[in-house]
Parts: sequence; C-alpha cells; structure tokens
Amino acid sequence: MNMSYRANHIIRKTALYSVLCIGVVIYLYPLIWLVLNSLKSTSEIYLNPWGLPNNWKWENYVQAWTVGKTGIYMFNSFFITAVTIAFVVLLSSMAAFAIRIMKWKLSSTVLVYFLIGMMIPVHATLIPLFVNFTKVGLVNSHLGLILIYISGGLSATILILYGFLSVIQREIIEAAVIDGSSMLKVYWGIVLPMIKPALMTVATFSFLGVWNELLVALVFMSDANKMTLPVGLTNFTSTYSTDYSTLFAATFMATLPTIIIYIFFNNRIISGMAAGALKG
Amino acid sequence: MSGNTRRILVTVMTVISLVLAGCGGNYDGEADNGNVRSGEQTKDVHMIAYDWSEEGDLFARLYDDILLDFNGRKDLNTTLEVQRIPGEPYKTKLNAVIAANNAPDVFVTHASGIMKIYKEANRIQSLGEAFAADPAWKQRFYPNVLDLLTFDGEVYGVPVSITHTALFYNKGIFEKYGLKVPETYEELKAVSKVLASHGITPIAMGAKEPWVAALISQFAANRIGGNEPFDRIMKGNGTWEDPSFIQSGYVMQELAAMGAFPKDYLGLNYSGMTAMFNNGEAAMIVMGSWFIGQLLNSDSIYRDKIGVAKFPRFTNGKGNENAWLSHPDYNLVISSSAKDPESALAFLKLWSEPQYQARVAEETGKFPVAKTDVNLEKVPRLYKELNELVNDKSDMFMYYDVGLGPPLGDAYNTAIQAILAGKKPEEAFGDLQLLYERHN
Amino acid sequence: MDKMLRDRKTILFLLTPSLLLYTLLQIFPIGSAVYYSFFEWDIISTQKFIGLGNYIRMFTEDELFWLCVKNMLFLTIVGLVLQQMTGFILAVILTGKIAAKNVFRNVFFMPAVISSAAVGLMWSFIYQPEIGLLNQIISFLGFEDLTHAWLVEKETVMWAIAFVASWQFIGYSMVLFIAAILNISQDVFEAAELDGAVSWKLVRYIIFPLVKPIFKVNSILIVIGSLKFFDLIYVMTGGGPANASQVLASYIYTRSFTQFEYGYGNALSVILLIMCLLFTFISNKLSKDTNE
Repeated sequence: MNMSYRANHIIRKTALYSVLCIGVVIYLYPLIWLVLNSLKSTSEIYLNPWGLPNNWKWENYVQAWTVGKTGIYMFNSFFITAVTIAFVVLLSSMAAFAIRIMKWKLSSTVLVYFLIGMMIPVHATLIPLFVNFTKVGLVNSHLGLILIYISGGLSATILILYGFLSVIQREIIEAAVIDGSSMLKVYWGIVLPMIKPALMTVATFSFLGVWNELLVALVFMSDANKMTLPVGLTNFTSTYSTDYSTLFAATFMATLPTIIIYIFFNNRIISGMAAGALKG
Repeated sequence: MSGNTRRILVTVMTVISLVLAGCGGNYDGEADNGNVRSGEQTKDVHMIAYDWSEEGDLFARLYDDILLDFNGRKDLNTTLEVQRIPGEPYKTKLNAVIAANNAPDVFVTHASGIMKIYKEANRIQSLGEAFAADPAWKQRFYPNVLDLLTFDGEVYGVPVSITHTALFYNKGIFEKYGLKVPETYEELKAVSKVLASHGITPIAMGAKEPWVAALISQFAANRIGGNEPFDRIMKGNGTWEDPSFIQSGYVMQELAAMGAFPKDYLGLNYSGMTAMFNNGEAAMIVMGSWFIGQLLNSDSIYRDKIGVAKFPRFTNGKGNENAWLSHPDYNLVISSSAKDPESALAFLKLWSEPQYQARVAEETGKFPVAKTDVNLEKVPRLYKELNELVNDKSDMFMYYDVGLGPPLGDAYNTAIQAILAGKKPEEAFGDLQLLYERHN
Repeated sequence: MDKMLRDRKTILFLLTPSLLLYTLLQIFPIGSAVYYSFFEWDIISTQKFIGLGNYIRMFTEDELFWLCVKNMLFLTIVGLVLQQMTGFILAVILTGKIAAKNVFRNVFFMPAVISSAAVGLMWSFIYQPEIGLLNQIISFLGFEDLTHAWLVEKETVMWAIAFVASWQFIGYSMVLFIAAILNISQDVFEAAELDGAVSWKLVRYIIFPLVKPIFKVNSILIVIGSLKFFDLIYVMTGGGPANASQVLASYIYTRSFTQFEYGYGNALSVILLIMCLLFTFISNKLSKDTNE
C-alpha cells in the first residue's frame, strides 16, 4: 500500500463517518431538543430555544400527567393495546392452526379470504363502522375500539403465523395425538410453545400498530377521558395552543414506551420486518 | 429477552400507570360522557342536557346556577344534568347520539340551517303549542329574535342570548399613533397602513378556522350590496355570483395584500388570534360580542383600554353601518325523545326570565333576548357601549353558515378561505354557486 | 389421527371467532360503504338516494379531490426518491467496514416505531417560524431570507410534510437493503475484490443489480403507504393552509366527520379502496415478473 492510497482511504473513511454522524444528529436532535425544551417554561423556550434549561422544570411533566391528562391517555393506551395483543395472538394463532394443520377442503379458500383484508385500507371501513357502532352504542367505548383493532390485525397476523406453522413437522403432532392428546391440547400445549418467537414478533408488531394508531381512535373516541395517547396529543394542541412546555413533556412521555420497547426488541422488530417484506 | 421478563415488564408498567392515573387524573369518576354536573337527586325522572360551553367560563357558571334553580323546584319530578363538550367535538358527538336514537333531552344548537335540519328529521319538538298556551311568555321576547327559530309558522327552540359582531379596537394603540376609529372602508385601509408601518398588526385575523375570515367578508358583502343578495340566497332564488359577493372576495384579498392581517394568518387559529389582540400585538379584531366575556375572563392588561365600534361602511355601497351581523348564538331545543317534555319546557322558560336574562348581560357580556331590566351599573363597560351602538340598528343579517346550515354554510366559509389563499373570487363563488344549485 | 385432523367441531371452534370478527368488522363495512356511497346522508336525517351523484361530483366538480390526488402523487414520488436513495446509500455504508454499525442502524430506524402523532408534533415545532429549530439554524447560518413559515405557505407545506414522512421511514428502506446486501454471498464480494473492483464500482456493478428486486418490493410498500397517509397531515396542518395539504384519507375525515357528508365520504372511501386494490394487484403482477 502506498501513501496516497492510505490517505485516500482515511479521507474516505472520515467522509463516511461525518455523513453518518450528521445523520445521527438529524435523527436524534429533534428528540433531544424535545426533551430539553420540555424542561423549560414556555417563556424560556422563546428566549432560549437551543440551550440547556436554566431551571429544570420537572413540574411540566407532572402538569402534563395530571391536568394534561397524559396519565389517563397512557392508561387507556396500555389497556387497549394489551387486550388487543392478547386477543389478536390468541385468535389468529387458532385460525392459523386450523388453516395450516387441520385438514379440510376450504382451508386455502379461507386463507385467501383472510388475506383480502390486507389490501383493505381502514379508511374504507371507517364510516360504516362508525355509523353502525353509533347505533349499538359502541362508539366512545374501549370495547368498540378494541374490537376494531383486533379485526384489523387478524389478516397480517394469520399470514405470518401460517408461515411459521409450516415448519412444524407432522411427526410431532402425531406423537402427541398417539399419547392421547386432543387436537386442542396439541394446539395449546405443543404447537403454541413451539412458535413462541413468532408469537413474540407478532405481539411486538401489534403493540406498535395499536399504540401508535391515530385515525380510528380519533374518530371513535370523543371523550377526553377515553382517548389513547396519539389522540390525546392532538387534543392538546387546541387547549394548550401556546403552552408548549407541557405539550413537549406530554409528547416525550408518549414516545417513551415505544422507545423502551424498541431498545429491548429492536432486533426482533427489524428482522421480522425485513423477513416479511423479503418473502413478498 | 425471555417471554417472562417481557410479561413482567408489561405488568409493572401497567400497574405503575394505573396507580399514577388513579392518583393524578382529572377523572370525574362516572365519566361516561365528558364532565358531569348533577343537582339534587331524589326525583324519579332524570334528563340530560348537552352544552358546548367550556367548563368554568362565565356562561357555564350562569348555566349551573339556573340548573340549581331548576333542580330545586319541588313541583317538578325531574332532574336535569348537563354534560359539557366544548369545541369541535360537540357537533360530532351530538349528531352521533342523535343518530343512535340516544339523543340528550335538551341541547344547544345554532338556529336556522341546522335547526331546520333537526326539525325536518323530526329530532326536535315544536314549541308551537307551548307558545300558544302561554302568550305572555312569547311577549317577553324582543321582536324578531324568534324569526330564525321559526319554521312553517312554528317556533322550535328558545334563544338565550344574541350576539352582535363588531369591530373591537385597542384605544391605547390608536391614541399612541394619533388614529381615529375608521368609519369607512377607505379609513380602515389608511389606519391599517399606518399601523403596519409601525410594526403593529392592524387586524387580528386567523383564517385557519374558516368562519373567522367569513365574518369580515360577510360584512363587506352586506355593506356593498345590502341585504337583498343573501336574503335571496336564503329563499332559494339567489345567486352567489352576485357582484356584492365577488367584490367581498376582492376586499379580503386587498386587505391581505396590504398587510392588514397577521403574518401567516392562514395557519393562525382562534386562540392564537385572540391572544394577539389581548396582548396588544394587534390593534383591531372583528368578532362577535361573546368576545366581551372572553376578554373579561382573560388576563389581558389592555382590558380597560378596548373600545368597540360599528364595522365601517363602504362609500357607494348599498348597505350602511347600521346593519348588524347578528344572530341568536345560543338556542335550547327539546329532543323529540325527551323523557319529560313539560319539565324540559320549564327549564327553557327559566332562561327567559328577567332576572336570568339580566344576568346574561351583566355576567357574561352576551346580549339578552327577552325584556329585562339590565342594571347598567353592573354590566361590563364594553357591553354598555356596544348596546348603545346597536340601538341605532336598522337591519340585522345573519352569519351565512348559520343561516344555510351544513354543508352549504361550511362551503361558503371554505370558499372565503380559498380566496384568501389566492383563488380568484369569480371562480370560488362560481363553484359555490354550482354546489348551491345542486342542493336546491 | 387423520380423523382428528378433520374434526369439524375443532375446526369451527378454532376458526369462528376470527372469521366472525373479520367478516363483521372488515368485510361487511366495505359492502356498506359501497352501498351508502350512492346516497346523500348527514346521519340524522333520512338518506337520499342519488345514484352516481357523489361520484359525478367527485370527478367533475370537486377540485379538492384532484388536489388530494395531486398531493398523494407528490408524496409518493418524493417518498420513492428520498427513501429509496437514502436508504440504499445508508445500507451500503452500514454494510461496509464501519464501527458501531448497529448503533447507527438503530438510530436511523427508530423514528419508524414512534407514533406519527408524536413525530408530527415534534416537527411542527421544528418548523415553527419564530422559535422553531429550522428557521433558527437558517438564520444562524446567515440566510435570513430563506426562512419560511414552512407549514403555512402552500408552496412549502407539501415539501415540509414529505420530508418528515421520509425522515420517519427511511429506516425501513435502509433495513431492507441491509438485509438484501447481507444476503449476497461472500463469494461474490471476494471475486470482485480479486478482480480489483474499487469500492464504488462494487456498488454500481455488483450490489445495485443484485438488490434491484428490493427496490421493486420497497416501491410497492412506499406507494401503498402513501395512499393511506393520514396521521402526519392531520397533526401537522390539519389539511391546511386552506386545504393545500389535503390527501384522500384526511379529506374523507373532513367531509364525513366535520362536515357530516357521510354519503360523499363513503364514495371517497370507495375510490381509495379501489386505488389500494389496484396497486396491490399491480404489485403482485410485478413481483411475479421479478421472481422469474
């Protein structure tokens, strides 16, 4: 290696790292800016938007949590998300098991039937659902929202689990049946544990999808006390149009759970996502 | 991370948030629908009223007092409870419960357009019999206030207050620059030029919510063409391509181009623009008289330095400065599925009683609709001044969006907004005319 | 065993809950939407049958509809270019000899998991004319006259939104390309280096052709995502200024839930549905061709 190659190499490396670091700044700074400013008073934000807070106003967070109802929104989001995930995983694994493992004529047809749902944008079903739920009193209720989320998550989840179930060998099921187990017990006691990683992946994606969902929650929840986090945040801007510090605090608190989940599960999320798309 | 750890993490987070939510939330216990306020409860029938006021504001407090009065009456077997849903969600929520046949027994609504829709859909009760049975009650109302609530000869609701739209201005700023309150459009433009040159926003106007801009354009149209063009629209044989409407569009563009409005006004909402006026950044604002109450409730340091004036006239216009953009802004109706219509009626009648109408004027800054002895010592100064100006009135015309109701009314507001964003007035009103023809 | 696998009761038990929920809450509503799109309805009065009236109005009289389509096209194209290009470049860099690859990868992907509501709010502040970060930086660098009210001027608003959308989702493209590049067997790389291929030639003649399928798949994902776009627009501009940033999804929302034109809203939804079905169909065709 001669000197110019080395120099070239160093220049290139430096350039690459600079680009990456600029990228990191573009990506992390908005979040950091948000957190820093959430600890200032609104007037200080106007005077000193760039720097560190002079007084660290932790009370902004308390204010956002109580008066700003972020606590309520957080609870609603947790509750709705948890219930949805539980049922999506349960129902779709049952359906995928029936389609993939059990033998019946219409199994492929039903699979395709479920897959149609992946092409349907939620906006197309929104108005009829709203009208009908209004008639039966399910608007503005957590139950109504959960039902919609579950029904919306079934298609993709069934498809993914169907794929994972394909690797289960017949012999394992046969062995269990010979031992006297019923099909349902096979499902619950043998197959489900075997596809645990897939269930986790699916649960994680469900979490992200439901936690971050805005449109449906916006339409169905008009009661501030029932809103989920994304809707609650948008609600903020009308009553707190100039109280930025509380709004920033609320926004940060809203993103914190997803960031935490992301820190723990990023590998799973990224590989699941890549695998899904690459498979087609 | 193993499944167990994850489960533990989720459980811990849920528990923490439950505990914190329980401690901290503004959770009103039985929150089925927004905030709930109930009266004494040992009666059999329980009715619900929907209100769009903000909890704790001047009007809501008066409402609560009247509720107390009503619920305390021994001769009625019904209690009434109010649920407050301020802002945009009110319309959606109300219509949703009506569609679900679960309407509140009493609710507030705008007159004219939307009230007519409720009437034609048989969602509200006619008060024709009630008025016939109690002529003294009808006499209490000022002439003409019931007009916009009357359809096919019968009255369908009870107005509680009326609002007049006027030009509010900051006397301090005007004095500082030696300016006189504009009486003509030319003067308005001149004043705006001076103010803009000193860095003061002439008129606080935020067109993010389309109805705000429409206030000014409606005035302009009326000053230019008089009442007739819009009256004909309401009757069904008018045209939006009438020159007065098109001209009003050009007026809006002219004012915008000369810097009479705040920078970035297209993205400015109601609270932003009133804040501008309240803290002295803007010298004028065109707003309904409900603004008086809001101003009093705010912490503006200019509260005592605000004056009120008629919207300027247009020289050579058919209209004059004594035509007022007014309408009954708070109207109570009884749902056709009300559990106890008699009691509901009693509640509505309470609002027209002299002592409460007086309080409407004295405490909320809104204008009464029924004969009352307003104690002029107690009313806000601005109310007094506006009252005197309105006494000269020769004519009233209503907000177009209230008169037409959805969707045409909203289409008008959006058309004005589009004109401000640069659309040619002829085009905007042409499109509006097409929509109008389809709906007739 | 075979009989057990065919047991009707078990199959029904396993299948019915999903089938029921799905049919009631996903399939039936589509039928309702189509049905009601032929009516004029404000939810409290009786419906009025108007046949194709809503559709005629949409295509001939409704300028806003065409503005929505135009905006959606804009978002799609900007999204395709920005996300694919930047995603690919980042993927190439991050599959090379760089330290802390995972850290970078995680940072760039992270915005994709944050709710669009939060992302939209964050960027609304950054775009704020007076105290927002962007204008502050521009002024600091001395370019005062390049400052804008990004979300309020109709010339800049769609660019501002498109940029945030890409910011949020470039990570997706990047991750796909990384997976694809890592899939290329080491042999290919070794052979190329033996041949003396210098880094960027490597990219152009080896890597790029081999990940072309990903470009195709990714394009489909980006296109369909752009069709359904709602959250960022609702949070950042509400469709404004003066409807300059409306897209179909937000327009459906405004027409139905703020202006109470449910019949028309349904017609718009049906059109959106057709667009989604169309693109999914086209994408399936295209990916079949790729696989051959």
